[in-house]
Amino acid sequence: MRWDDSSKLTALVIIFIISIGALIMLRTPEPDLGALILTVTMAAMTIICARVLPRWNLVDPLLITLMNFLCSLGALLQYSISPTVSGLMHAMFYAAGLVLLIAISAVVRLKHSFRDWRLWILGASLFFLALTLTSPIFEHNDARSWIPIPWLGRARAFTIQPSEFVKVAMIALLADIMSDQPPQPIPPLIYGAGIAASFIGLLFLQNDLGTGLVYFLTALTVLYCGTADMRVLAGGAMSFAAAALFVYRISVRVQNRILAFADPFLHYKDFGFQVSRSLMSIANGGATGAGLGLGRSASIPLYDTDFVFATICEQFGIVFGLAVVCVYVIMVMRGMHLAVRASRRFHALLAVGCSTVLAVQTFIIIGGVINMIPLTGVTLPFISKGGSSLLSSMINVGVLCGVHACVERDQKRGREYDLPKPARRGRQAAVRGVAEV
Amino acid sequence: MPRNIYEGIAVSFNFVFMALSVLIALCGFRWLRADRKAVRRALAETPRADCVGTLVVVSGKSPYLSKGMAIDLPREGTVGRSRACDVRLVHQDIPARAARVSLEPGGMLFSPARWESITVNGQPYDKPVLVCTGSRVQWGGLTLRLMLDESVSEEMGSAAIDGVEVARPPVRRVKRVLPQPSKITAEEEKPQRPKKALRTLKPVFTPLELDAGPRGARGSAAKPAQVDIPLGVDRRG
Repeated sequence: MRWDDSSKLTALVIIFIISIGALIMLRTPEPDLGALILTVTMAAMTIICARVLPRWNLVDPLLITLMNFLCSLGALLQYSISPTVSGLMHAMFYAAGLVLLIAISAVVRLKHSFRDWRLWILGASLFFLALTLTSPIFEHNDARSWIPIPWLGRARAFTIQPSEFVKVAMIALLADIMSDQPPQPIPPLIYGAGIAASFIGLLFLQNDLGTGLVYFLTALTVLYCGTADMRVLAGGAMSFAAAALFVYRISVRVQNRILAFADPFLHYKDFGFQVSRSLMSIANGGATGAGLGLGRSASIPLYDTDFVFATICEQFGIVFGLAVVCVYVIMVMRGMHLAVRASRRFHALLAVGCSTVLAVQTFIIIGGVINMIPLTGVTLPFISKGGSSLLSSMINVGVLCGVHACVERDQKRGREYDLPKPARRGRQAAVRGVAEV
Repeated sequence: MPRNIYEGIAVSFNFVFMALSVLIALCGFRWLRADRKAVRRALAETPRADCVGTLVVVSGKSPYLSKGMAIDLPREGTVGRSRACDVRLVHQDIPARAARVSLEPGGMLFSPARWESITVNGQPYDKPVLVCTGSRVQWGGLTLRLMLDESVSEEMGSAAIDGVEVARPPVRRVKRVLPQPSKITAEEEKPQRPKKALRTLKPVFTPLELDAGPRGARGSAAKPAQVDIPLGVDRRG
């Protein structure tokens, strides 16, 4: 058997899953059946995703394998933190996300435009974002981003975050609007910017500024790629500066975050505590880490959601953390490469948007955790605890897989016709005939 | 398991995790690079793989365009004078962003930009128009002939591509324009099929045409050598 890149990568991910699962099982004196089931399930899903699904051109093998690595890391890490509440829930959401991923990939492959669905998507997105404003009792960290689903458990126990799903909807809307054929009743740039501004305004009312920043940067990238006009970037930069100044003036929380960014240890006892503990945990782990389930990362508030990267760095080491960052970089590069190769504008903009979301979200939270930029609370894709975040990230990958399928289909067809076959020379002859004129 | 023994095992396992994660990242980068190389190689072998036809200059001269020059058309893109356009036509009569083109069942859909119009077979349109292969498209003094590939013509025969039904033409009031043989002048009516002259074709491209846009440049750059050298001669020599 020849070991190509796909086989090697799949084998490495499976070895990683089995070894981390074995370590979790060693932690307890009696056999941990949950860890065993989780390990076997994640390994089996990795094999299916990497070896079976690509045969039907449903997924991009590189993207799906790297996503499985991150999801397995997230599920097993969450299991080691809290087996029933976090670990198994993460695995269940992963399974649901996989089904969604395949479905979204098929939809993107079949649909070359969402024009018919545009108003529905826009209406549903605005409705669910506005619905969060009517449930003031579900406030987490000063933000009102969650909607309770009472029939799926206790009201506090099961909630969904619509802004995670609206993120993908916004990318689809912007890609569709920017790739629409003229003439349009409203200029596409104004239409797209208006939609993005309405979403960001609702997020501002929810006090979810971190997600708002992700929306803003993603929308700006898609609008710029759709117009290829530097004035869009300039306008975006100016509006960002004005909005940042405005928010800084009116929000004490943002002022505290800036102060904590400037010197976290000076404000260790109040608003700099989280970042200070994060930096101390990363330093405590060192290059090789303290070991799975060891260390003091549990003292960081939100150590399993927003600050999960500090937990990873402490338990597995900074070298491992850097490798995880590299995996994100590869996924983003792959998405951008797909965007360049896409023959349809709609697919190219979809790929740009999904890659940008992944890149921006990862950069914002890792930058905040290591105090490279002021902290804003967003989740680390695929790893952080939270079903909405995991599902949204997997839908993003599903969109990229759909674009990959379209690119492969178009280029395969193009190559078939472009090869110099005797039967296909009619076109060249016709062109030469005209050229002769 | 006693905690101190677990700590020892966990720290030693960390080296395994570290090595595996670094190998996964390296393997991913290598795969990404190999894939990009494969795509580049495939493009070099079949440079027109993502093109569906050409726009052939019939009349209207500029430093960058000359009569007979063929400019590749992508499946979907923008046409105009601007560098940001997918198909760049540097001519004084062409607006910066003249039109959007996309392959649709029945032909190429030309959607003029806002405040712009397009003339197809002598008839001006300011709304999207479905142009069939062989039709003349005109902006001011620049006249081009749309030549869709044979493969695309085969595709358009049925309304399905690769077994998947293609979306209907997106814009409601689309008018289909067929080539009008009666209006084609005698000069343009010259034989389309190559004859003996094929072997001694004159070069129809100038070095300046390399600036005709990213897609046009690739197609144009590949063809002069083919046209310049008599057929049957090893081009590598």
